[in-house]
Amino acid sequence: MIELRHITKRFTTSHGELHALDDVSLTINDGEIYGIIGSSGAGKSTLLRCINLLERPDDGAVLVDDVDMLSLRRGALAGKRRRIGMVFQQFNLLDGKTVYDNVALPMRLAGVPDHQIRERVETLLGFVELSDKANTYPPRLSGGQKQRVGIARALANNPQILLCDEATSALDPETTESILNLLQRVNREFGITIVIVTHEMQVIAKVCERVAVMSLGKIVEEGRVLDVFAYPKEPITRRFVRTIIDDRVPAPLMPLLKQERGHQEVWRLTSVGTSASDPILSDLAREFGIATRVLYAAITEIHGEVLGVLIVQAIGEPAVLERARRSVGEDGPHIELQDIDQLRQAIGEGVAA
Amino acid sequence: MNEWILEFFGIQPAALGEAAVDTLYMVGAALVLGTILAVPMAVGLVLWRPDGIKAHKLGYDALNFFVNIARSLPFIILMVVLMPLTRAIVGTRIGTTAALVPLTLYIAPFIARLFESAILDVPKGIVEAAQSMGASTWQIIRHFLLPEARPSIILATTTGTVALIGATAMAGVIGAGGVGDLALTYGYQAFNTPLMFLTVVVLIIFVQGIQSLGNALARRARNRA
Repeated sequence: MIELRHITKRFTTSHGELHALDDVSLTINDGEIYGIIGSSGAGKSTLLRCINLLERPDDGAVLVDDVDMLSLRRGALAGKRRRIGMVFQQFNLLDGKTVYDNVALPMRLAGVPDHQIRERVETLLGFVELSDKANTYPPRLSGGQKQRVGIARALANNPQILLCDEATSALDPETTESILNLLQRVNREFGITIVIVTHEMQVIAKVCERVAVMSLGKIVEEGRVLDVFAYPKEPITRRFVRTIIDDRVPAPLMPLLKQERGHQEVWRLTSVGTSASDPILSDLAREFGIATRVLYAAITEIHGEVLGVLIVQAIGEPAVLERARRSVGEDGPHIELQDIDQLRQAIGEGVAA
Repeated sequence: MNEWILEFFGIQPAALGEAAVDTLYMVGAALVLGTILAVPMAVGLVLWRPDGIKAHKLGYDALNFFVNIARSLPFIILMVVLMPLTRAIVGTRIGTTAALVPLTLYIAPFIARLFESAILDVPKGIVEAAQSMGASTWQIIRHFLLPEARPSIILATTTGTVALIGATAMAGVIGAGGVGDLALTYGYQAFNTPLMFLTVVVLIIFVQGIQSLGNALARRARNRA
């Protein structure tokens, strides 16, 4: 288990003191894949580096499996770091050493005997599907291959934890996908706890169980990934979720709302699981006689589960609409009444942006 | 052949060979000794700098100051200033071996600066990766910084060698032999123009050869893949 308690880190810049991390607390359980998302400068990479003390916090406590990392002496810290692998956005492989030697290096540093190193490197290169590249130098590899070597290297000393600092940010979408699959295999087959720092919400959506959203050195929102996607609370979280589920009513549909003569409401229906594809609209029409018009709809897979978001214009008597909302909310999707004026504003923003 | 050389260049062929050997000896020995001194200086400058992994203000300032001082003296002045030290180490102030003291102390800070910038060019992420593996400071230097800086270090050594050849020519002033001395004593002072030209040609070949060798080695180190 990784526990970060009240972590504070200040950097002194030419503009004065900067609070890179401001009283951040976080618990990551054994065997989970935990995501930390934020814009650049939010402090997420600094926070990740506090786990293996590449950054030493000014205040707070770092506990890895109940060991107080900040109390460790140099030798003990080196030993602990060997059990915490790390992969980087820029791979940080040694260009002058072969793939084999890159993967062997952490073990050589730890004084592992040569015959054990050979066996382990072969296993690892097999695992990342690069057995044929053992004698190649990193400059000859593609980005995805480099990151595979980076992952093999990080696994060399059988770590319990793998820290990923923007591990897929330098890769194209297809390669990102394959690296994320590899990380999932690392997690499942070896039971390694993985902490992923990223600014890409699709990384979180695909592999993470829980996520922390960071902004300006603080964690502003935290929870199960599905919950965060379904019910984002903070504006920054909503912005990140929108990179996957862009739940804004398209501007050309707005006149429909304006022109409607009868009583209307705009509903946002969020459903999780296979009920996301239930025939909710026809039910509304049959049971309550409510006419609906779809303004936005999305069904997305989030960490293996289905998340549905539906925004509809519902037309009918106020009392009927309210009854329908209650009835739907009881056993169906979560239903949320949207302010039509706010929608218009949101559109305005969208167009301006 | 021998007579021909004596007649044309006004010098015994053996003296020519001796001059070449003296130059090679001075350049080779000073390069080895200078590099041995330069590596720890460069590593110290990199580790101790304010954002280095072993930031040490006093150590850095002192080392930096020393390197700057040594680098600001022209070789001919350094040679004279160091005479007492040379005598203390070698036992004499003149001769080819005596010249090694100022040559080494001249070239070491020069190479140290070049090595320093070569090591600083290694991406910061490499050091981070090393630290994340639990590497000690010594392991970071030995397994990460020096090997990754190798192509640039080879080029820096080449530049240092060429600078040394220039310095050895001046070492003739304190009675060291070598091709430069030959040019000064016989070529310049005795108005022996053919000999002068010969030394110029030999020096050009030396320098070109060393630079080409250095470039080739650096290229090989860089694109080994």
